[in-house]
Amino acid sequence: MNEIFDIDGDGIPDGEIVSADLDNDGIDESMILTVDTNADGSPDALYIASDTNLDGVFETESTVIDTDFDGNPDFGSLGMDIDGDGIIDEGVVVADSDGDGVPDVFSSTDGAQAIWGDVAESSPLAEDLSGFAGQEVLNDDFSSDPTLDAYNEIHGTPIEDLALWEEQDDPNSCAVATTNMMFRTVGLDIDEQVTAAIFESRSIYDPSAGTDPGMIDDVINEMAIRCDLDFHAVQIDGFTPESLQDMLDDGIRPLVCVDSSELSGDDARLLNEMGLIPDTGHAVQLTGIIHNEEGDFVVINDPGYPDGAGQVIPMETFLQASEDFGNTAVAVLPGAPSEAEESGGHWGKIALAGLSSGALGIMGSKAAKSSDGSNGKQ
Amino acid sequence: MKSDNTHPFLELRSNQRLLALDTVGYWSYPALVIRKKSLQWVCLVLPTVAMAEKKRTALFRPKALIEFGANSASVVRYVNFRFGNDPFPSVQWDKPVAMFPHKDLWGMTYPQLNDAENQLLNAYEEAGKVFMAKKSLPDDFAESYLKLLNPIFLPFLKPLAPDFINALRVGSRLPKATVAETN
Repeated sequence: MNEIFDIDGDGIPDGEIVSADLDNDGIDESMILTVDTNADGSPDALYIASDTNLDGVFETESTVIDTDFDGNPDFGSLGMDIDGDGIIDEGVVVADSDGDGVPDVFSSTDGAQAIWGDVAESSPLAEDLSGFAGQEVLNDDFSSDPTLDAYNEIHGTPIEDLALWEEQDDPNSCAVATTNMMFRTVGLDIDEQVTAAIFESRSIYDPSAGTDPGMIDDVINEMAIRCDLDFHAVQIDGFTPESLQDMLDDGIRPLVCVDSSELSGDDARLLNEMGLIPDTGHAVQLTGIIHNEEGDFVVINDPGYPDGAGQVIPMETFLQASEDFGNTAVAVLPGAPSEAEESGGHWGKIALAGLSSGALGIMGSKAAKSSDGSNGKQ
Repeated sequence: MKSDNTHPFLELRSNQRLLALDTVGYWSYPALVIRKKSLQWVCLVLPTVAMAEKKRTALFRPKALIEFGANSASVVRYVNFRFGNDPFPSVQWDKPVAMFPHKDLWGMTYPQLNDAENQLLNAYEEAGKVFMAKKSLPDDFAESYLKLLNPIFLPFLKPLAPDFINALRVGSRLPKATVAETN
């Protein structure tokens, strides 16, 4: 189909639409819109869209605009809907603002939605990291490159792990939701209500109060045995930054108990601006640790609010927030427990290396967990 | 010889540190009571629900009482109201009774609250002596206590520590609506 239109009604054609119905279903699969408002024969704007899989939705759209009518394009964009859900997943924008023929602005979307599913296109993580890390250091291949500056170091895959995040269903179900995030790392994706029901049946979760983190590993292990699931859980008390890094490097994305009122790390915030009771227990998932010239940071998936995926927190703030709960974490690992784990806890031993002898007495025993004040509901 | 029996009772009997008390929630600052010429601290625990969007935490009616020796961690009484011995049977469980923070804490930062709490707690020793001797409280202590304590605790503490509440000279600060619902 070919349609010519006259926008200003001066009798001179200003544009043309050329479209094609390739499969004769009455829906156009490709469309080219050309606009030449000054009738100089050079398009002022060009829009091209195509439905590559013939599903009635344009998967690629590109636009070129000559804003100063000099015959050279000043702005161009390309968008692609990779998964065919009608939402652009990858996009590139190029603009030449001073008309010198050299692009002055170049931006591209982070592609998170295309790659990891239903996550925010511009996640808080991507925004937060842009100032001090750069997207390229989030790639494992780069981070393991020994030639890179040692301060550009990342442990874990926090961008990929945005896909693990889920918002908690209920006000006190943070540990349940975080457990579900851990399950996803070992291939189990179940509804939060299922996990909540299991936790409730074992009396470690009360919807009106929260979850006792001191028994999460035991309940997960019982669940794995009863349902013949190929994973197990361990609890780590007294973790250190180094032991967390080792966990992340080994693919573990642990649940960490924190004081939610301390996570913001902003001592100047007023009580009525946050509304959180001091020492309130909360559970989050650790997905990354970053060291760069700006300092040391952790990346967490926080189930507590809609923008909780990929939050970047200074390491010191994170450690202070978790210190109130004995630097306690729960890890879900694939396979059966190793002999080391059964005899005291592989991760516990790693954490142990960074602890003083005074703290060793409360490591790895249920008795200590129950009495050290670290087992507040999460 | 160690037994393989893992019955909860046997585990508890052999290791009392496994005792699990549901004390998670928003604690009142200790109210003073005198038992057999010994000073005790009584605390109530409120269930909470954080509401991030509203920047408040909802507080619910007390779920537990903990009584321990003054300035010690020695528990002499623990009552879980959910399982009987509820001194407030007519107060509903499922509706918030107050919000955190209460107005007296507005404008205060977390470090400031922490400092104020430490100041109050450091004043307990002297307050305890005065209370034991005269069943009254130093003015500074009463003022600090009433500022930091969420007022919703007062009607619930009143039947449990009546002399202490009287010594606070609470007056009009006692929320009357809730008092009427309590026993």
